[in-house]
This record gives sequence, C-alpha cells and structure tokens, in this order.
Amino acid sequence: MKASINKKYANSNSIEVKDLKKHFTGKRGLEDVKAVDGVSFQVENGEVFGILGPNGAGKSTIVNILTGISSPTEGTAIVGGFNVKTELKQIKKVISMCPQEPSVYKFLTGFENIQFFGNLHLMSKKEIMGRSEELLKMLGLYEARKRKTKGYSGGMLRQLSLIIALINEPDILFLDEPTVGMDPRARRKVWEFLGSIKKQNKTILLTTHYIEEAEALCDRVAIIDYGKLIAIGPPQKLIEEHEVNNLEEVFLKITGRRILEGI
Amino acid sequence: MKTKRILTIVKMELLRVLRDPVVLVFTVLLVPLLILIFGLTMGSNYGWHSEYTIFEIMLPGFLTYACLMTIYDVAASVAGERALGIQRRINTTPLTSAEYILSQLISYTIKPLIQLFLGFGVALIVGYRPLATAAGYLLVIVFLVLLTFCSVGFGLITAHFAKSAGAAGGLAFIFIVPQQIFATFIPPVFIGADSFKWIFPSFYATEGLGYIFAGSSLTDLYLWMILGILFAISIVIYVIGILVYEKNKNK
Repeated sequence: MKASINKKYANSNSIEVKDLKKHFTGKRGLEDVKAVDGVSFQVENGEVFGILGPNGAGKSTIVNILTGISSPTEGTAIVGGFNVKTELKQIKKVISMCPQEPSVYKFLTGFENIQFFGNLHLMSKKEIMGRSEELLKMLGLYEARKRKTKGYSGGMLRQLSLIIALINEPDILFLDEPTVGMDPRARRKVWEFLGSIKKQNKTILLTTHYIEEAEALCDRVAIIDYGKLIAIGPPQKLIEEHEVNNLEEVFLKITGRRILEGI
Repeated sequence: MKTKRILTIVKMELLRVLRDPVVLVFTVLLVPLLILIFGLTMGSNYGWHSEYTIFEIMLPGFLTYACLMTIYDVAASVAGERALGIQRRINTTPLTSAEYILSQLISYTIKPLIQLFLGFGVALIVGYRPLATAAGYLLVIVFLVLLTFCSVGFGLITAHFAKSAGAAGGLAFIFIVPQQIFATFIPPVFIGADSFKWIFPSFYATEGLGYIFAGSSLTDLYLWMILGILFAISIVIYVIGILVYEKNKNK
C-alpha cells in the first residue's frame, strides 16, 4: 500500500517551516556560516512553491533539511505532517527528491536506474514498468531507456533524474535546481512536464536561480538572500508590489544586487 | 528490514563489477591472469624451497591480493557516488542504514567467493594440487571474507579523503601496495623485510591459506590464532570505515 501524508494534516499545509536555522561552524578561526537564518514559510497541498535566490543563498540547505539529508540547528520543519527531527522515516515514504547533480549510476541503463530507485520504494515490477514507460515517453527518453546512462547528454541525465524522482508517485516533490545546465529547449520541455505534474495536485518545492523558471512554474516564491527570507508571495503580486517588471528586479530593488551576479 | 531493498543493492553492486571495465579487471580478472602466468612459468620451479614450487608458495598471496583490490573498488565507488549525488538521493528514500549495511555484507561475501572460484579454478587448471580438506576450504572462505571486510573498511576510509572516484582509486593504493609487497604473493626482496609483515592484515590471510593448502591440521592452534587476529583487525577497520562513511554520506 502506498504511504500517504499524515492524515492529521491532510487538509492543511504540505510543508511548514518555522524559524528554521542552519549554522555551520567556522573552521580555522573563520566565523560561523549562517546558511539558513530564521526562515519561515508554509507550502499548501498541491502548490508549486519556488525558493529563488543567488548561489549560496541557502536554497539547497533548506531542501536538505526538509528531505532529512541534514538536520536543522534550530527551528521546526514539518513535511507531510511529520517532523523532520523525529519522524524522518515517515517523511521518506511520502517525498522524493531530485538533487542538483545527475545522481544516476553510469553503468546502469536509464530503465535500470529507474528500477533501482523504484525497488527502494518497494514498488512492484508491474508498477515500475507502467509508471516508467509513461514518464519516459512524456520526457522523450523512451527510446534511450535501454542505453547505459554513460552515453547520455547532460540534459538527458537531468531528465532521467527527474523521472527517478517521480517514479514512486510522491505526494511532495523536492526539485533542487531542476533545469540547471540544460539548454533552453530542454528546459522548456521540463517546464511543460512539470506543468503536467502540477495538474496531478502534487506539492512541489523547487529551488532555482532562473527568474523565468520561477515565474513560469511557481504559484508562490520565497526569495532568499544570505540565508534570510526577503520576500514571499505569488510572482505577479511581488512584481506589482515592488512596481517592477520581473522577479529579478524585485531582488535588485530589495538587495541592490542581481540574482545572477554570483553565478 | 525489507529483502527487496537489500537484494536491489546487492544486484547493483554485482552489476557494477561486471560492467565497469576497470573494476572488472582489477577485482576479477587480474588475479586469475597472474595465477595463469605464474602457474605456467613457475609451476615446476622449486627456487629456494626444496618441498614447494615458487608458484605453490605464491598462490595463497595471489588469492589474498584479489581481496585487497576491494579497497580500490569500494573507495572509487563510494567517492564516485558521493560526487554524483547518488548517496544523497539514496538517503532520501526509505532505505535504512541497517538494510544498506546488510546489503554490503552480502555483496562483499559474494565477491571474494567469485574471486576464489576463478583464481583457484585457474590454479587447478595449471596443475596446482593443494592438500586441503573440505573443512579447510570452508576456512579458506572465512579468511578471504574477513580480509575482504577489512578491505571494505580501508576503502571507506580512503573514500573519506578523496573528492572524486579517480582520486579515491589512486589513494587506495596507499593501503594496497604495502600489503601487496610485504604480505601477499611477492617474496621478500630485502633481508628482514618480512619481519614486520605481521602489521598487515593480508599477512594473516596469506599465512592461513598457506597453512590450509599445505595440509596442516585444522586443530593447529596457530591457525586459529591468526584467524582470531584477522577477525579482530577486520572488525575494527570495518567499524571505523562504516563510522567514517555514516559521517560523510550526506556530503
């Protein structure tokens, strides 16, 4: 039976983050790094929520905490109704994550990689076959499924990584820079694909430093800088509130810098 | 604990050995090839010993050398998976640490069995006829599995210091080469060089295999003493390796 989110929270938010902090101890006399510094937000069920910010802003650290890869220094994080500090086992049954790196085995074929992760989620062979066929066809990787991923292009690896993240039909999907390194055409294809996933009422939390991506996909965005939340809301509302033309200019108006400056 | 998850990891580990040409050559094919060459060239050469041929003296060391290559295998794969983000992704799945460790225990019990089967098979083909009993062969497997676990520990420690699979593969030879030179198949070149071989885990396995193949009694206390020492060393190195791995697996 497929695991589901905590019934207690079924009609509420998928993710609740309150005063979240993650500090890394400075080495060799350097100051402590405040990667995440008192961030709070909620993500509603079925919402696509973007965390936007320059490199090093703390976006991936937030995702790492919410997926159990690292633990928070302070604060509370609830995912699918479960606390990341005490109920990680339950969280892992209802989430999936697509990391920044391709994160697939090069000596396995595309399908074998999908099967490997499907098996870790205890899916049956039939379920894996059916679901992977659908996803591979949607992203145009079906013909390449029997090829070893060693021969895949960077874009194909990112797409395969996305398919792996979706194989277990997670209630909550974390995407860490899902289109980084992709050419514009492949990026647009992924956006279309994520748009179709959005229609299935999945909760998606994605991090990005692409303004266009945040504007195209997200119902709401949180803009992060130096570990702090500096703005949150629907992209259009933020643009109107700050009387600018796009989210890049929102960031520029608040911080005096451009998001892409550090890249 | 779910069997399906454990077997999935085991299958993946075995496929890696078969499909990664470097791992396949280093961990599976190299030693049978060495045995074939040395068996054919030194199988009837008595060298410095009146009772055993040079090849007969070297064979236990060849088999333990195969286990040492696990250090390379583990170091390169763990560092590579970490660099690719695979470990981080796996850690967001429901796979538990206990399932992962058990899958590694199974994988690294199967691998030395394959190495033994191939290496020993080639040795038999080139005419090697040991005096071991069936129980002796079982003990040979125990020695090799223990040394393999020790090598897994060394591999995990090596992976800790390396940023890529290539770097880890290179660093692995820091642990492999001294053990290979002083405590596997290479006869001591310098006088007295073998006086400190006891500090290397591979010495205990090589010594044990040599005793068993020579037909020594399995009730010999020395045999059980070296097995005990190898067991203790392997446990310590393996546990250190696992602790280091657990500490770094999300990096």
